[in-house]
Amino acid sequence: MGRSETASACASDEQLRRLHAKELADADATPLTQHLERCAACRDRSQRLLAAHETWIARLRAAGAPPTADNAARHGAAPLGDREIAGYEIREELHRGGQGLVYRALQQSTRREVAIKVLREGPYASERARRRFEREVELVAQLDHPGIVKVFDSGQTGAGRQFLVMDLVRGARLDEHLKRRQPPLTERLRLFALICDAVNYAHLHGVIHRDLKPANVLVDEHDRPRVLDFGLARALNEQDATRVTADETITGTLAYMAPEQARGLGDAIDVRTDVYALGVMLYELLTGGFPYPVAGDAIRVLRHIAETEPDAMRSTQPGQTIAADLETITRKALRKTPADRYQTASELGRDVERFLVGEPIAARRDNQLYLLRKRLQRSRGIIATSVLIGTVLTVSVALLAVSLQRQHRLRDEAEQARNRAEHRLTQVREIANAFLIDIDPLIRQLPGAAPAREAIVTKGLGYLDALTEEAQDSDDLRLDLARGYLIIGDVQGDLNSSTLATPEAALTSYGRAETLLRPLAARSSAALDVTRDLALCLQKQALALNTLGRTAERDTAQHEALELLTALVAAHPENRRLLRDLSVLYERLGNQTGNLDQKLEHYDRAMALAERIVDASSDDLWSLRDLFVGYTKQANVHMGRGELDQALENWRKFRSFAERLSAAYPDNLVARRDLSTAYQWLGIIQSAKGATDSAVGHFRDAIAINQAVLRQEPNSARALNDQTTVYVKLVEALLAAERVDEAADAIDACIGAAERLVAAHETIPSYQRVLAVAYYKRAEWNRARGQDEELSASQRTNHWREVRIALDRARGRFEQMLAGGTLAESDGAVIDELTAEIEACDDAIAALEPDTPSQ
Amino acid sequence: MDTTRPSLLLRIRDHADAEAWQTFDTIYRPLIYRYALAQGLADPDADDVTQYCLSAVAERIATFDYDPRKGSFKGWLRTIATNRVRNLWRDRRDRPAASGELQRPQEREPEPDEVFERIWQQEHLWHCLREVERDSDQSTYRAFVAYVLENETVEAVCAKTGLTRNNVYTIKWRLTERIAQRMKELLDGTE
Repeated sequence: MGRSETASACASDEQLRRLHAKELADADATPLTQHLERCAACRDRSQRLLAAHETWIARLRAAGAPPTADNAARHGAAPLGDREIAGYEIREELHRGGQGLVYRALQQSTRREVAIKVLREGPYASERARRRFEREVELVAQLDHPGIVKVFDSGQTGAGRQFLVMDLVRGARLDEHLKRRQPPLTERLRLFALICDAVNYAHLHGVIHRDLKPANVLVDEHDRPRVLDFGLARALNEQDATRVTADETITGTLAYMAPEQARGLGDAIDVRTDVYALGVMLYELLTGGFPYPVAGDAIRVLRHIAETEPDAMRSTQPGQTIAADLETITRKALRKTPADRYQTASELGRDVERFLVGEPIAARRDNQLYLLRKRLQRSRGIIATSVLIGTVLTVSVALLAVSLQRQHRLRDEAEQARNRAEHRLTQVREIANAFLIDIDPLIRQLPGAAPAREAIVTKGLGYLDALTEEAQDSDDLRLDLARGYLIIGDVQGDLNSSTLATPEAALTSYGRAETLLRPLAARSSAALDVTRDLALCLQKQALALNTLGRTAERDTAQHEALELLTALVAAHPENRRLLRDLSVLYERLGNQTGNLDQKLEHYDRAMALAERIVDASSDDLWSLRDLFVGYTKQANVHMGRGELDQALENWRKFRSFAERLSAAYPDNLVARRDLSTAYQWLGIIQSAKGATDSAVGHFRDAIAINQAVLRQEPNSARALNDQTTVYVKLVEALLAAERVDEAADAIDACIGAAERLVAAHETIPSYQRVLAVAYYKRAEWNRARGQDEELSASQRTNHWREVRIALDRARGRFEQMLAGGTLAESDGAVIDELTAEIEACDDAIAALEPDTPSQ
Repeated sequence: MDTTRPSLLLRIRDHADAEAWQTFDTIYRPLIYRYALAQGLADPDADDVTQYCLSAVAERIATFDYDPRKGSFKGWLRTIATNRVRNLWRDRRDRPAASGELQRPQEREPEPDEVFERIWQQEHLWHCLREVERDSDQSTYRAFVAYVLENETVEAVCAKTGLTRNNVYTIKWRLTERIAQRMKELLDGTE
């Protein structure tokens, strides 16, 4: 009786610890275990203790044993000396794992950093084992895929251990990455789809991984997954992948094993074995757990793998459910019989991608109603997630709708006309289909996938071109097409979001729109919208021409746009859209002219128009913004006249507004850029007033905002351009205040941003100039150092050499612009000036090195 | 076993606490040195950085403000080390480059947070492991290394050490507990 009462009493922490430490005799352990089965509170505490323990075990395993000579000798895992692998300098031990040690090393021939994995196993038991290893490594070395860590060398160390040389990937293991960053579901699924893609590539090249698990995937600094150790399980030992140890824990391989592996059916292992492991990873990604219990007694775990259907999936986030589609996908990957699973990793990845874009998944393709529902959701989903795709889809959907309407209208007309309409309808449908079906697989790689955008633009253009032929006799269709071209042109010209954007291509599309619009606008009965479209079309062309530095053509287009809009505003003085169009146009004119009086005149007009809009709706922040942008334009004119206090006042007004806007729309890029611009200008003005500290603070604020934008849009031309400019200003302010040391990092960052800008958008002349300016700032910085009397002569000489290199680079950029015909008139003398500075620089170097004969 | 020792960071404020300084030196000297190597420095320079950082800590620890809002000791140490490495690189550029060894490995490497993080964890854990090795008998420590760190099967460990399975499980649990406790003392206030 005494015993059973003890059994039902709650356990102390120390008792639980002793239980886990297996310090209790059976007589004490059994009642305690029984109690745990009944008492949820104790069970919870027990599991928490266990979880904390497992965390420490994982940390210890990641750290490995301390590298003492003694330890090394005992365990055959000595840190390698520099000479042990010919051709490589070992730099640092990165990781110790079950298979061996990983080092960071330098490949001497290329001076590049690599990772070397030295395998614990080997020298080989048999000649056959060695041959198998070499054959497998040879296959693996042929894999060349962005999602796979490339193996490019192998051999034996002095001690006879096998090693593999591979790309050094800076990043975290997938499991660590997920734990640390807690990425949202879509991001986790994106990573997963990329992993599937990499695994599929290896399968196509005849390599099965056999040991896929989160620990074998690294997430690099660009958040791309890279799969490690392909084929290594097989290369090491045929049995290795199916070997089971008595106490493998969740950190081990067991959890990801497929039923055919768990049963020890070595011959049954094929690509679908990897599909199963991917299924377990997906289950874990979604739920944070495993499909069945995988801790504890290995035999039981193996039986679960072979027989237990996956537990119902529950999201890691409380209150959130897992979409039925995801559960369907996961379950299909986890079918016990390989024939019932996805047959390839690519099929699995594609279904996850389909889910991501709201397309019906293949696992359920048969259900018609289901298909229809998904199709509707998909249009909405895409429009919500991507403005780019959204606009294009809207065009096609709108075209489709228009055609259907037209078809109804024409039904009563002549038979011939109807046939033609139907023909048109077919083609419009083709457009819709092209976007919805052909383009979809590419869309899934968004954001940032150039090929998808390219495909959309080319496809869209192709269909629009085909329709243009048919459009001769229908005004409505011509107008639709023109608007289609305008949107395509916007996509092509959007330097902010696309690296493939080119102003030239945008111009061509705008040109086609213009050709379609002109005859429509020329009619006396032309609707307001048609004329407005033509004006906007001209204005868009002007903008693209401006980017390309074709100023004469720009002015012609702008002039006509101004005439059209002015006439429209006169005819419709209350139309806010038109008022805004005209205000924007005046603002651009103000931006472009170099004459301060003209500038102010344009800006005043823009402001007057903006005020008319605001009267009508003063609580709309975006309308207000036009007004506040006006203040900044006036501020810049004040700046030009040296009226710093007035400029400061205006920029402060704008900053207050930008803060309001950012608070209301925290994720909006325009709002963030406004705030960054405000800080930048406050910094510029404060710097001009000699208040360096205040200026530096403002510049740092602007830099922080730009960095946040760049983290989301790494190649955004605007953000890179802004960032370079702020750094340039920061460097100037610091140099002016003789705070040369502080400017060192800023100048590095400045060049970095400018080089990225030019690399991503190399055809834009103004960016070439930005880079040239950045180089020039580098020269100024080094010159300041070179003039520092406290430095030694040799240090100063070296700074002067850096000055020379930077000047040379800057001049090179300007020469390139001159050759390309894009050098601005105001920059005409720059090249000669730079040449003179380079000569002065050579003199300075010669003066510092009196003993060196000049060459 | 005393479980209430004041944190290492607190103890080294007292320059007379030789034992604390000894511990500090055994952990942080290799830590900074490895970090410097990982930043691409060669041996003598890495030594220089290590010495510089340890002196800087000794000089300033008494006034180091333990206020998490102002940043941790760990962040502070990393900043000192990173700046020192960067200054060395800058001086390098001021000297004529003699050969390839003076090349900077990469113009702009990613923020070395992860490298530092890894080395930081590893050196602290290794210190604890060495203490455990010192305080345990040989077969206990061998069993722990083989079973926990090197993932060997329990049978293999038993065969190697002559311990029973339960012995091995007990060692795994208890030594891990001891290391976790010691890590808390070492890291208290540093992160």
